[in-house]
Amino acid sequence: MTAPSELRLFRTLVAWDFLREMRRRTTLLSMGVMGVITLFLFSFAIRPEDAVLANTRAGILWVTFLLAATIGIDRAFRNDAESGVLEGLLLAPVGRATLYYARVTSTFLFVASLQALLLVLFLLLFNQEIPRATLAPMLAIVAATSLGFVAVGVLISAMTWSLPAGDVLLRILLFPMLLPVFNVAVEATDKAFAGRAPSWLHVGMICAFDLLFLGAGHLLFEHLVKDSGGRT
Amino acid sequence: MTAQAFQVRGVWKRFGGRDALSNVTLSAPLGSCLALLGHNGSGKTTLLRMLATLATPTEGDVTVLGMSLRDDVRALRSRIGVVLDRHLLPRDFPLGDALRMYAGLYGVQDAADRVEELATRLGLGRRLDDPVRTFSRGMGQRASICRALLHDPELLLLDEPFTGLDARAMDVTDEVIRATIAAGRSVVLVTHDLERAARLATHAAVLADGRVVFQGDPAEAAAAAARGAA
Amino acid sequence: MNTAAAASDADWSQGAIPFERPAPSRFFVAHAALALGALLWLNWTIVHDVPLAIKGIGSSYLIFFYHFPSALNMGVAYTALMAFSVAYLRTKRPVWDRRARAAAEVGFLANAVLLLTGSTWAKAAWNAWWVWNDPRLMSAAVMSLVYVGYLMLESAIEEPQRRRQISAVYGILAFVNLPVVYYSIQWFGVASHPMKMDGMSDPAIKSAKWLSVLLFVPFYLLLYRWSYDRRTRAEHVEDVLQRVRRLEEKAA
Repeated sequence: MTAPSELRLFRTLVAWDFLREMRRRTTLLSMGVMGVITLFLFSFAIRPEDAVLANTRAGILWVTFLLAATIGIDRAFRNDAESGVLEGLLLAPVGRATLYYARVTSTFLFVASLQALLLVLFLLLFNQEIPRATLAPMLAIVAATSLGFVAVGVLISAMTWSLPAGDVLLRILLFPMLLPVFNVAVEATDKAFAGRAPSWLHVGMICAFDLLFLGAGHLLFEHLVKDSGGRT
Repeated sequence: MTAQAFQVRGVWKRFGGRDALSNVTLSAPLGSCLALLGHNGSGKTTLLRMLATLATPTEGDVTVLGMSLRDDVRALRSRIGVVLDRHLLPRDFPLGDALRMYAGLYGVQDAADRVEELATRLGLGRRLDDPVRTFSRGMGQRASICRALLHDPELLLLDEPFTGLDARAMDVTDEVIRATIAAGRSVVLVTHDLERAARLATHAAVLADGRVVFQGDPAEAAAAAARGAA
Repeated sequence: MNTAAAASDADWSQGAIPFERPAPSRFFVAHAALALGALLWLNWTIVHDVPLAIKGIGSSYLIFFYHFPSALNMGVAYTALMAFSVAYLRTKRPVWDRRARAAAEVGFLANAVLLLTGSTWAKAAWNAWWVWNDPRLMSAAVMSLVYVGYLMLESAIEEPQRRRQISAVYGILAFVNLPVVYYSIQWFGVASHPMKMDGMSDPAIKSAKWLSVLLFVPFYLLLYRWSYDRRTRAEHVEDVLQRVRRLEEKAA
């Protein structure tokens, strides 16, 4: 019996999460439905006319993204914790950083694919289009920002899954942490809608945020799953 | 001094404002089967979770298979197998897939054969393609034992493995425990079943209110625990 | 800073059970008097040594002498919170957790003072209690929201060991986020914060500005000390009960 490499473990864990979600699809479905509901809330909350939308479209899109993604982030550990699989993983000889990166990757894949869908839906429902020239930078911004959401989110999710009212606490802890990068993403997206490419400052800021928190997760994740209590 | 399967010295575990374990000192030699007896809430499970590296002591020393819990416990995790009250298997997967994935995490060679062999041994050979959520409590328990044995662990930690099992399944589980000890492996068995503990175990300890109140011969321990229960 | 640090807390890294006594609160009254005196001195300085009104914004600028020290003290407290959290994760000694939480309370209070004075000043200068496009006001507001979360963890998690671990990790994450909070809002908001004002270059004002920072330090230290002592005493009582029970146990 040889110890599998970290990369192999990582692949196994991501594949595991992916297959599990494919069997039930509860997380993806609830994220999707939440996103659609949010879009409808906005359509009632503001008058979706072109003049109004020109100022608010980026914000509408990102609030929708955030609320939908939060559901996926909240489920990152709750699913496994409820079925006990999380304890099974913690018992296995898997590096804690590998566990973190695998969970970030799978959650990111769900969140990103969902956001692609919501973006298309938003463009159709609100009759907007993204200029061809800024489509690629905009998608890059969306992807990089979502990675940041998930990098922080998985950490906060590991803090809160075992607590009473942990889902509420997750949002209270997570949203303020994401506010700055949210701000940058809205700015950049706003530019992209207007046909101007986001500046390197936007991209750099979002990437810096991702790297900071992926690094923090690498170092700190083990402290969050150590002695996670469980039921006695 | 003979080599120890585990050694617990002066361990306290404080949990939500009370002591789940108070000054516990306990050990078991390699190749033994230790039965941990006691009422609900006596601290048996907490101690087992500690040996399983899932909990750390508030105070004191724990050494499992010669490795301290203070050190990097990753290597230790590949040498122990654990059965907890829940089966720890993903509910929506067929049993075979779930076990093969765990085998992958432990780096088990020929995972498919190993899974097949264990499942057959525990009477689950025909259920490998059924989702775990369709299993009864007893089947989940046996599936959990399969999972714990995948990587042929040197120390097997069992938390109430007989719960929900019918007579035949209990005998199968007995067999597995006996075979494990016969192969020179060590077992820690948390149970309420005094009679079975007396038959299987080579050593025994009784916990009450987080303290070790008896340590020694299993037959006497069963008697002591029975008296305590009465 | 504190002798209690030497008498280590009983944690699982310690084999023996040393007995930790709470730090004696000596000279607390003297400290309180000092803090009060310093603040009185500050007010005296403001009344006597600096111009009571400057060109453009009139006398409202005087709140600056309460606003600026809060900003610096907030920065120091949040940095200390991060350092104490790192120390906790490295040593697992509860004393670092108590220090971190005391620092969080001080930081949050300074943050609140910063927001209140800033908002009052905004009313005087821009005739609005709150403006959404001022980058510094927004950064400070976001920081306060992040650290409210830290303070909430205390009541949200019952199990002490787990609470300390999670709080320490969150304390570090919050600090890691600070540069992002600061620069993202700085670069992408509308800059309207009065950083340089006519008349602020007056040497009397400059020296009063740094004096105000100095004179606020005893006040925030007093708060830190009160907060730390309160927790130490509470945990000490709990600890004594536990230890008595354990000693009985060992004797039996």
